[in-house]
Amino acid sequence: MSKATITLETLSCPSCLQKIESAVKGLDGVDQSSVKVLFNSSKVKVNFEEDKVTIEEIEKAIEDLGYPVIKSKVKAA
Amino acid sequence: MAQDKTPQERLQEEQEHKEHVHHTKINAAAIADHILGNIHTLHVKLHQYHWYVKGPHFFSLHDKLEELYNANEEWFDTIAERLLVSGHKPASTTAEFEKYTMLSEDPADKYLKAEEMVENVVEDFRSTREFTVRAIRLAQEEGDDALEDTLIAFKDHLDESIWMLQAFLGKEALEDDDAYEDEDED
Repeated sequence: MSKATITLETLSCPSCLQKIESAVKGLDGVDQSSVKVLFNSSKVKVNFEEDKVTIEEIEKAIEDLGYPVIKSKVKAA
Repeated sequence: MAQDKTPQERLQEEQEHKEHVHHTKINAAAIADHILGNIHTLHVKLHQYHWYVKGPHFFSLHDKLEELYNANEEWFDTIAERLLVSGHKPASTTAEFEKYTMLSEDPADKYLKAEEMVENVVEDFRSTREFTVRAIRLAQEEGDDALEDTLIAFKDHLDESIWMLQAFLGKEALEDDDAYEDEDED
């Protein structure tokens, strides 16, 4: 299991938060209960299985919604 | 003139304006609608926990939850009225609050352990605090001192409630709070 912290551009509206959260939770290999989108620090925290989903795929799911990813940090969890 | 329009026409104008604000430059009032939505959900959820909490802490938690939903109810009115004073149009129907709330409910929560209920309330208060902090910053930028003041007082109430509920769980006020964690880890 890996643990990622993904930094996004400032989230302006709380509805963005819900869209991002459900998109990331919908990915195979993502630990659903670990997904947390922090509104004021504009960060996504997520635990995932690296053999099932990659950080690039998670980033793409977020960017496809129109929210640019600034950086990601992945650690072993 | 606003008087020449039907209530339905005025509502449509208001909704178009709100959508526009949401997708261009968000303001304190738009975030505050989400705060009111959260408070609306908490009104029901705190009652659910007040009714169904079980175990040796029943008497203290049953009372505490009643105190919390009463305070919650007062903030619902105070924040909405402050928005009106500032010339905004806060949400005012159940459907709107359900649309704006960022919190969830679950009928299965009635079977939770007392500690799990308290953890959920902490999480919901923290989520509400996140939006309140943003609304405070926006009210500052907009120069709406009194709205900012009301929101700060609401945040103070949430801060204090979170501290007490965390203490009940044997934890520090900011423990396990992602919004307040150390940024030095990278």
